[in-house]
Amino acid sequence: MFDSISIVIFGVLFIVGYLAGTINEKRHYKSIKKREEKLLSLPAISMKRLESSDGITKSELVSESVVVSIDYFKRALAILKVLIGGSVGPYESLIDRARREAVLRMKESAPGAAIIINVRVETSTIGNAANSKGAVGSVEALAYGTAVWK
Amino acid sequence: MASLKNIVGGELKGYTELLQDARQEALNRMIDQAKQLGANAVVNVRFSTSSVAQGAAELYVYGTAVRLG
Repeated sequence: MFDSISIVIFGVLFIVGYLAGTINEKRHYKSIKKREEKLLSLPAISMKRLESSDGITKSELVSESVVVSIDYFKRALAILKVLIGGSVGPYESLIDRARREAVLRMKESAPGAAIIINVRVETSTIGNAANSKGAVGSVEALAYGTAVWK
Repeated sequence: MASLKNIVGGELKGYTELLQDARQEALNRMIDQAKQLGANAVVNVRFSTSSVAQGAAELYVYGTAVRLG
């Protein structure tokens, strides 16, 4: 009796996670692609210095971060993937979304800048390991660099 | 709220804000320290995060304090 209830709960969470998670991810990727196109004119590079410092009016540290959570369906899928080995696809898209969103937010926080140099992207897990029970399965991505105005 | 988001996925705005506040605090402490040392700029700043205990994170900011001019 108790077991059948927990199976039903698992099934419901699995389906809700799949539907909401897929919609969420599609919407997020759509917004990421749109904003990336819009911000193409502001390059973010990892080089430490510019070729010349002529005409620089201002430079400032910019940093933005985002915390993204995995959905129930993907977590279940990831646990299965860990059993059989190989690349863990569900996590790859999660981390990709977090990193691109963080870089986009960093660019958006420097309106009018010519370029962002010395960009670093840092990733960390929040709370416990993402696939352990009861833990918040989420990653934080932080992007930071030096915005230069010309 | 975070556990609900764990089912449907997506951004955890509360966590984003919490970490941003903590990082700003770390940045302010670094700037205070640099001022005490008589610097007027900090260059080559790096951010680092580590999870210390369950539900807790350390935000670490470091850089080189310099005096320009």
